[in-house]
Amino acid sequence: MPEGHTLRHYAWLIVFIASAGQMLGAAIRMAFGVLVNPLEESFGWSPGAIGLAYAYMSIATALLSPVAGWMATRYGARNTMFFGVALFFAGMMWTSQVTELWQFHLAYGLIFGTAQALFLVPAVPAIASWFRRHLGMAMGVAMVSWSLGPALMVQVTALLLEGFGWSRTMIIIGVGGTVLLGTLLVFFKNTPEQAGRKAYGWRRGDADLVTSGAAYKNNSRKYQGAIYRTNGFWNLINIHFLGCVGHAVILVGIVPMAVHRGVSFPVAAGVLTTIAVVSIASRFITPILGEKIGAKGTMFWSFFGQGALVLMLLFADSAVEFYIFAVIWAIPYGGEGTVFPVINRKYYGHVPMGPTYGWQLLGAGLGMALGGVLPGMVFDITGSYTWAIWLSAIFSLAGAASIVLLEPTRRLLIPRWEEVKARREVGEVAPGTASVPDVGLAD
Amino acid sequence: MKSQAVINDTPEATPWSEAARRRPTLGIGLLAGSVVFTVAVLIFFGAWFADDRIEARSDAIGHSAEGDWWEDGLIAVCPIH
Repeated sequence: MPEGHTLRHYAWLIVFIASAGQMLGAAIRMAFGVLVNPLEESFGWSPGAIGLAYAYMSIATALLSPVAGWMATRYGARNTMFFGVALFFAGMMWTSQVTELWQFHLAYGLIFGTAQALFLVPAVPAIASWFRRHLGMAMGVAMVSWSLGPALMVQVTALLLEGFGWSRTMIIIGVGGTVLLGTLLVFFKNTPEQAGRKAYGWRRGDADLVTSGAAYKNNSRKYQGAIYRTNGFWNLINIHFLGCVGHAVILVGIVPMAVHRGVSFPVAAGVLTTIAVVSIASRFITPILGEKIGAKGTMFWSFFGQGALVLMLLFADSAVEFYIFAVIWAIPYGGEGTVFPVINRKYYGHVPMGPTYGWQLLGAGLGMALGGVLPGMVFDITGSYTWAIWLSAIFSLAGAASIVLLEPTRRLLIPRWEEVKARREVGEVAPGTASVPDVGLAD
Repeated sequence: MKSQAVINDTPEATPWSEAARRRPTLGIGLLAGSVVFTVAVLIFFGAWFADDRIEARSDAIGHSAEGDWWEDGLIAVCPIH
């Protein structure tokens, strides 16, 4: 650990539990790919009809992300994630017993989609509340699990399918995941204040933060209202959408693109694996850089790199060229989505981040859904991937241009959340806040 | 002031008086612009796809084929097709 840091802090347990939740979310997604063939063989459903469940799940996750963020703030991240675990269990058990296509669409699309939103959204704001400082490092560690989770779960799911068949595999993953995460969540504390501890990076003289009670709920609404009035709130949803379209086109299209240019399928699949492995490093480093040298600049170069470097694909004709692309492009791609919690902290301080992050994930989810369908659609129409590559570049570069138009990060865009506590204790209005006298006085 | 110091310690905050007056015109405008661009892209490729389908059917039957409602709709909406 770097000087001044320690692993012996409860905050790292929170990061670990939140990461386990992310991995369970990954299990939901990854289980799908290996389910298609067994379901096709068992029931005779077409791959397209089965694939609709994945589309429903993606859309349900995206649309419910703001709701999950609101629930995390209103009912706490732990309760929200517990609810997600219950839905995960119900969804897995039902999926293991489906006999009709509509049942599969409902169990996998709606129930899993909802469960995934409940895992993904509350975890990041909860981590943020546990790190008074050094949030970039915490996010780096958490974001790495987003890469490792799918890699591990694909192997585990494939082994289980081979040994037990699809129905029992769903039961095993459902029971195992529920027991594991349910047990871990017992140790999960929403905020350090609720746990009677100090946040990581806390220093003597830091104001205590209000994290529960009527003042917390009332002020959460007021501060969230102030967040809605900032350009940054709307633009960050837009930026997350644009960036996700940009890389989803490549993640979904790179293997068929390489095969179309004459690369064999196993070698082409290795290009995708290379992207996944190399991006782990930049997922870890980018939020730290964002905190140390500036979130806007780090985000800009990630988006710009993702957009500009994708044009290498216009000239890639051999396996070597595709692998060179994979190594170079994965660096900005890995950093593209990881700075959002850091810039949220810079803009909005210690305000509960659930709803704001939930809205940003709505943009991301819709971007992933659109970017996922573009390569296939463009290829079917034009017979090549050239348009898809240009569209990926345009969306990413539009994201970079939008980042330039974000507000500077040198000051909070809203009043300080710490004022809620300070005013209650001191009994007077903090400087610069006189125009909204009810804030902080609700209980 | 360096951004590092701002994050980690006591950044200047926007007062309520200023926060309450804000109008997020630029942010909403950029988001709306992205939505419009996305819809335009989908209409362009959708109309291209519809055009190809109608042409393929026409080739198959040897004379001009009728378009489905969604094919005609996309072609009508797209200014390029």
